[in-house]
Amino acid sequence: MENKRIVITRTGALSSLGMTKNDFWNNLKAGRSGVNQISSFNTEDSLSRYAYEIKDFDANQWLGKKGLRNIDRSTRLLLAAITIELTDILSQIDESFSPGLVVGTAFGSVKSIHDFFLSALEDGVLYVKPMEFPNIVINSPASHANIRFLINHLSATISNGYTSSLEAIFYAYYNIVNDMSDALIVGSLEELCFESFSGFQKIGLLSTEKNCTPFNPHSNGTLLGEGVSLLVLDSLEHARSRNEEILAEIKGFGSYFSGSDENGVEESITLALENACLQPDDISCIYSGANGIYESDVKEARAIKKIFGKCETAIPVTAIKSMIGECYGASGGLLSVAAVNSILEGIIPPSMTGSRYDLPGELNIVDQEFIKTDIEHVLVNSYGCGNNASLILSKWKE
Amino acid sequence: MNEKIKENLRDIIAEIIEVEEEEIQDEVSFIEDLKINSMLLLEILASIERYYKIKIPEDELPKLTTLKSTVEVTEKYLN
Repeated sequence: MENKRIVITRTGALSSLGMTKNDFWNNLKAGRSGVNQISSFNTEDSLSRYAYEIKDFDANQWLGKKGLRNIDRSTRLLLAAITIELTDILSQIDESFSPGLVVGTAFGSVKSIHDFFLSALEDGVLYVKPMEFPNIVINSPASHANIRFLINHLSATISNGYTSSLEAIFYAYYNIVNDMSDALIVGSLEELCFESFSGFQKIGLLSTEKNCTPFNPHSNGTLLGEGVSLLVLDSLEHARSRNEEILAEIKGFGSYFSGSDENGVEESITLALENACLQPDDISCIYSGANGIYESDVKEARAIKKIFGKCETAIPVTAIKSMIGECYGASGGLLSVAAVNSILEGIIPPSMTGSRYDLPGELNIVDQEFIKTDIEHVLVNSYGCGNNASLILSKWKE
Repeated sequence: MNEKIKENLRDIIAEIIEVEEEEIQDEVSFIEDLKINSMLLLEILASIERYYKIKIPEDELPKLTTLKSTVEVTEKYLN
């Protein structure tokens, strides 16, 4: 890891568990699930009918009554999350504080892309709506946020499937380490929409059950979620100059493309530990990327057992997608926000998987209730479709 | 001026620029009074084309300065 220290000074989360990071964290600790029957599109012809949807989202409440007509749902979610969590620091933008914005998302505005081309097919290419055209690029949500909040320094969107948000954090980290930025807002977003839902369903990844149950051998798939995460990354010097409270430090990460190989998660964890100059024994808890797709859950379980199996005490593992769903490109970011809270409060939220399953790795899964323990270093895993990423966040120490 | 066309266009413009329909009087200036910029004007043009399934050449765009002139341009291509 580089000598320059990069710290996290703010977090934010908008999810099926609520509009704020406090809703998110309090519900996670209580083991409350955001799952519900899908209401934003028709699932009559689908076997899967449940998801972790953000209910009663009223963009006007957060963004005003005008100017939203051509702004799609995914962008509205991002703008609302930034408004809720970061208005105070964005009002301080001047010459000494000029953050950039990096957003991780797999699908971005996929619904807008679909709607635009459907309109061209149904009405003819002469009659498409010109104001909908800017929404069909994947960097549209980030760009809208840059424009609205006058964030001029940087606008970047990282799209890399399941690992989009962790890759966005890596990108931002190196941007600051290389003195290209002092502070960056790293967001992640994914919306629940019929377009992505139908794709997941068609390739057989969605569960027909009413809950997402990570590490459950009887699970027949995952359930989708939606949400936005926010992390503000600062160089240590910059955070101090702004008198910002330091919440945690980014210690290391690893990223590995494994294709269909089994060892992808093992590689990304190993690379992250090396990058952070830590030993497996140093890790206090693991935020698992398990999502109820049992074949891939098992791969992570095997990797954890192989790397951490020799530790004196089995490291606690939590799999919170049971409560927020598979938020795809936003998952790693949301897990990271929870991990920062774990570091601050010394609490690991439960996985709520229902029971302890007989996994190949015999993991120490935090199941029905949160546990309280001192937490120094947290490992966050994100993986799927050949992409694997691991992030290590640490308690802040001088 | 065809009253039905005028009311249709008033609805379309009010929705796009997010104002009450009463604010769009026949000769109120789009630019000075309603603060309609070039992107919104392009959207108004596209919405009229879409609604009536007609094609209005873009060189007519500068003529869309009021509701009255917009109705006149639309009528020209409807006939």
